[in-house]
Amino acid sequence: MHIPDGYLGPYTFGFFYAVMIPIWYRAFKWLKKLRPQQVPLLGVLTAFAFLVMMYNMPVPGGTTAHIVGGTIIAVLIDPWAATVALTIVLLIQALFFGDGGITAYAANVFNMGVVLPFVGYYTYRFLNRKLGLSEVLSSGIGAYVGIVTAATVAGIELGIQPYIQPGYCPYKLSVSVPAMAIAHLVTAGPAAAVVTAAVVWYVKKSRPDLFEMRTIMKSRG
Amino acid sequence: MGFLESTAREVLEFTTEAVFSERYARAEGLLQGLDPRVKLVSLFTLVTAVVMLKSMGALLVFYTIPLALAVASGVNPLAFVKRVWLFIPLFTGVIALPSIFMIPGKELFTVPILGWGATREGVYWATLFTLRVATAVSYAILFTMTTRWNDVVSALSSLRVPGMVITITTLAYRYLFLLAKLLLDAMHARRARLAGDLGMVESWKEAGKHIGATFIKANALGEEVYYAMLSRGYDNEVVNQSDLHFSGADYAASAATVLLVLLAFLLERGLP
Repeated sequence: MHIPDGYLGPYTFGFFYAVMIPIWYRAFKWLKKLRPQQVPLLGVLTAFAFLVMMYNMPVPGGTTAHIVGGTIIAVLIDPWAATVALTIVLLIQALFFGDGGITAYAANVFNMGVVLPFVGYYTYRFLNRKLGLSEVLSSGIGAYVGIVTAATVAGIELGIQPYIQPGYCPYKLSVSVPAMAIAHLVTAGPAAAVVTAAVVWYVKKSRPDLFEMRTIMKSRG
Repeated sequence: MGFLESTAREVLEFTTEAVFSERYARAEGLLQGLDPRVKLVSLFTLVTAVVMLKSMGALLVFYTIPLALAVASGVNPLAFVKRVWLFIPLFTGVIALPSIFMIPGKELFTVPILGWGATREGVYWATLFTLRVATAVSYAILFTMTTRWNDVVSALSSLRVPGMVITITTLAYRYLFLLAKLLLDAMHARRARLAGDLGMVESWKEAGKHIGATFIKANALGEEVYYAMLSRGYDNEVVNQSDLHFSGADYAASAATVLLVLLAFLLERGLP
């Protein structure tokens, strides 16, 4: 889902930098509310988010897919923690691994660090609190909806290029959106759902106190 | 058990890769001697300029610049080119290839059996698109290969990125390698106890358990790191000890960046 440089035209990537500035400001305000000991914790969890992204899993079709882990962090801690972690992870990836472009950085953070964790988290919360589904099942479905939505948004960003600035991503919405959405509906989506549900199940079973940490992060923060 | 193996390999490869890139960054060379702030701002400016280029000639000029800079910085040009082009065919190629047949124009050749006609315009467009992506990636990779991680953090810090974000970034990078090692050990331990192959969904669940266990370890580690920092005098503020200062070479590099942007503009408009 990492969009490289050269796929998005200047209007689009400029737009996403403008969109991300207030979001980064809001995320920074969330950071300032943390207690001192939670800052190193968030540092280690950012490393954790990095590792989760490196997990390649076999998916149908003989290839592998990676999950983003945004929903995992959003459910276990807070969606803003996921935004902060992914902002840093994607920066390290863009600068040090050539994964995801520099001009496309803000668009990538928007897709994977904002759309994905927030959609995933609120889907999870709705299913868990309103419909009474279990935390494990809700988080799995949340991760699925989150990653598919983020991929669709990425597909839209790529697909609008021929309409606004020809010369960049060549495919129209009718090609790019199904390509991104279907790939994630049938491959990375199910993997993200099962992995996220298993993580939540495992953490809840072995360290239920940690699972309550998100309330600590909010109430004392 | 494909996923465990491929992940283990990925983690190892990426760790060695990170160490490898510091090797060039620590050497003497043109780009290594520059202030990281100049490099970071120039990188962003030049990549933006490259992404805006629409003519093949201009792109070729801008493609040769990082190559020349790599040589001047003691980076093995072959290793550099290899690193840039390693991923291009995989991602960009897949996107660019179909457009050879999809863009209407003068027909160049027809694929036997399938009967698809490649057009001159299509081939030109696919080449232009691929070259532009490769050029943008070249600048980013060159920056990575010639800049030390600590210098990047210092640059971000003096470019007014909030201190808290810097603290989190520094800790994340430092503990990445430790967490990767813990994860790898856990995977090897699991593999040693495994008889037979896991199914696909079973391997996803297994991944979930490993990630869950890593999350728990990360939490414990986060707490320990905090107390370790506290006992060494941490008072909720990380002090950056680097002393970045502009030298003559940095002013020259900044001027060169401005000139290159002007050159990009002129090449696009057509030289007078």
